[in-house]
Amino acid sequence: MTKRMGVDDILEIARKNRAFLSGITVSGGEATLQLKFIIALFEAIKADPDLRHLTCFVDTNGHLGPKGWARLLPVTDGVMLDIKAFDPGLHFRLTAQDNSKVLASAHTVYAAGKLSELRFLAIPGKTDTANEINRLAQFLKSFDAGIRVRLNAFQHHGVRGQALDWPKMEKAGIEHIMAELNAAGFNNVITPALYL
Amino acid sequence: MSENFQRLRAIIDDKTLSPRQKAHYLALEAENMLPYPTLDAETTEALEARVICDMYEGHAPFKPRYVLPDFAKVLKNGSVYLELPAPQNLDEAINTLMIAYHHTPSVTGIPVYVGQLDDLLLPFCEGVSDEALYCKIKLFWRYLDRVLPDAFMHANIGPTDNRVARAILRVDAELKQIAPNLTFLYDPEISGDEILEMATNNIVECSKPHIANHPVHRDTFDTMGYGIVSCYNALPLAGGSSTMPRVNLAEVAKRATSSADFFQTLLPHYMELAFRLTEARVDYLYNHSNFFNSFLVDEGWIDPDRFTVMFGVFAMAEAVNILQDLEGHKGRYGFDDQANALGYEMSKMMAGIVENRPLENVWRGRAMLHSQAGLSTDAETTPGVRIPYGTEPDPVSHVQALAPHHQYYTSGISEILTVDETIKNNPEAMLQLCKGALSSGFREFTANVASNDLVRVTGYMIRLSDVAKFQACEGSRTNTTALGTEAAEMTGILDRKPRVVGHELSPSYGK
Repeated sequence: MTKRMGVDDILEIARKNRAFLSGITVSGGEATLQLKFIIALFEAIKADPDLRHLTCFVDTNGHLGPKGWARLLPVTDGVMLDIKAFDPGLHFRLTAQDNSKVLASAHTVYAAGKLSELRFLAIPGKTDTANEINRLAQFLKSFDAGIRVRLNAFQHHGVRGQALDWPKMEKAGIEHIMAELNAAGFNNVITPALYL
Repeated sequence: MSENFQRLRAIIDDKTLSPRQKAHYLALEAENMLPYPTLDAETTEALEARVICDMYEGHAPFKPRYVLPDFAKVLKNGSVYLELPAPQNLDEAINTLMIAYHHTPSVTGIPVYVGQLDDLLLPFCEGVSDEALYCKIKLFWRYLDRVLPDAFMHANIGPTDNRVARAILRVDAELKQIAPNLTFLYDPEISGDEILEMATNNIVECSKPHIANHPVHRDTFDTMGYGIVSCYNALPLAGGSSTMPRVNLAEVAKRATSSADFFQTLLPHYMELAFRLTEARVDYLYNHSNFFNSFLVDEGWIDPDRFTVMFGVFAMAEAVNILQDLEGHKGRYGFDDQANALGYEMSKMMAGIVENRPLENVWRGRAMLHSQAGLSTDAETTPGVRIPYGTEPDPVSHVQALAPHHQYYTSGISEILTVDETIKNNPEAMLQLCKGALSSGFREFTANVASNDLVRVTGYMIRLSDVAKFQACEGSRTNTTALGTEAAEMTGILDRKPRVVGHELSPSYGK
C-alpha cells in the first residue's frame, strides 16, 4: 500500500509521537531515490524547535553517487549502509547492479564521519562463502577497528520469487562469520537476537 | 452432613492444595460463617448483584487488605517483641527482614510488600564485594520465591542507581522467578539512563520489572513515602490499604437508560453504595477486630492513621461501549476519540466523587481511586480502564489512548503493553517506549514480550511453561492465540495447581 505524503505530514506524525522518539530513520525501498524529499525532510526537522533533537538517519543500499552524497551528508546524522556482496559477479547476479558504487559510498560516508553501521546480508551458499567473508574482512580494514558491522541472516519473511527456494541462514553460520570477523580484529559485530 | 461441613470436608480432602493452603481456605470459610457487617438494604442488594464488590475479602475484616511495614524501623531498632537485636551486617539485615515478612499480615496471609530493598540494604553493604552481594541476593531471592510463593509479593528498588538495585536486576533476570513481583521507581532527575536501560533490558528478557513514575507517585504521597505492592498498587508506607471495594462499571452501564442517566444518577449512586460498604468494613477492622492492638503498632512498623482505602473500578471498556450503543455511536473504547473522551470524563468524575466523600479511619479522610485489575471469576469484563485483551492497538497508540486516565488513579493504574518478540533485536526501543509512556503521564510502565516464558497476567507473573505442564496433565484446555484470552483462561487454572500462585485472585475456595 503506498500513500502520498508531504514533509508537513511527516512532521505532524513526528510531533504526535515525539515523546517516544529519539530520532527518525528513512528506509525503503531505497530511500535515496527520493533524495530531494529526504533532504527537505531532514532540513525541516532540524529547523523545527520541537523536533530538532531528533537524529536523522538513512538506511541505504549505497547506490548514490558522490554528488548526491555531497548534498545529503550535511543534513544527515548517520548512515546505515547495506552491502549485498563483495564479488562483483555475485553482486550483479543478486542485484543486477555493479557494487563499485556501493563500496565507494561506504568510503565517502566514512570520510564524512557518518558511517553508523555497515550491514551484510548472509545468504547460505551465496554470501557466506570463505571468499566473501575474507573480502568483507579485507574491506573493513579501510575503516577503524571499532566500525559497527551488523550481520543480517537471510530469512523468508517478506521474500518473494525464486529467493524463497534459498535456504534460511542459521544461527551457527552467522556465529561462524562473527568469529572470522573477530579474528580479523573487528569486535563490534552485531548478530540477530532472533531468527524469524 | 450440613452444607458447611461438606465445604470444609471438600477443602480438607482436596487433592491439589497443600496443608497450608487448606488452613488458609478453612480460616476463610470460618470467617464467612459469621454474619456480614451490618449494611443497609440497598447496599446489600448491589453487593449481591455484584454491581459493587468486596473482593470476597471475608465477612469480618480482622486485618487490612494490604500492609506496608516500615521495615527500616526494624532494621534500625530490632524488635523487642520478636527479641531481635538491631542487625549489624548484611547477613543479619537480610535475616531480620526474612523474619519480619513472616509477621506481615495481608488479605492472603502472605506479605504483598517486602520493602524498598536498596534503601534497606545499602547501609549494610559497606565492605561487601559485588560478587558477595550478588550471591547473598540470589539466596534471598530464592527464599522469597520458595517460602512466600505468591506472585503478589512485591519488592521495590530505585530511584537511585545503586549496587543493590543492580544486583537485584541481575539476579531477577537470571532466575526468572514468578516471585517476587518487582518495581523500579524511575525519576528522570535522579535515576539516569544506565539503570533504566538495565531495567528495560530485563523486561525484554523476562517481562519484569514494572517501571513506576516516581515523581508522580512521590507527589501523591507525603514525606514518609509510599510503596508499590501486590500488582501495581501505590500505597502509604508504614500503612497500607484497609480494604478495596470496587464498582463494576459495565454492570452500572447496563442499568442506564442513557449516558446522562449513567453519569448523573447511576454512577454516583453505586459509588455511594460502595462507600457505605467501605465504611461498614473499615468500622469492623478499626472498632471491633483489635487488629491494631499489636506490636506492629507499638514498635512503629505501622501507623493506624496511614491506612487508605483503594476505591477500585473496572470494566470501563465495556461500560463506554454500552453507553456508545445507547447513544447510537459506533466508536469503540481504545480506538475512537469520542469513545475515549467518554472514558476520560468517567475517570474525572469518579475522581471528583472520591475526593469529595469523607471517610472515617482512612488516611487523609478520603479513599484513593484505583484501576482494578480483576479476579479470576470476572467474566466478560476488562480489567480497570484497559483496552480489551487481544484487540489492543500498537503500543504507542495504546499509551496515547490511555495516558489521560492516569492522573486520576492515585492508588494505582497499569496497562500491560504486549510487545512483539522482535524487540529483542532492538532492546533500546523498550527504553524509548518506557520513557515515552512515563513522560506522557503514565504512572506505571508494564510490558510483556510476546515470546517470554515469564509473562504478566493482570499485574502478577506466571510461567507459560507451568501452564503447559498443567495442560498436559489435564489435557482438555484449548489453545488460544491471543495472549489476553489465554491469560483469562489461565488465571483459573493457575489458582490451584502451581506452587507459586496469585492468592488474591481466588479469594475463597472453589470460587
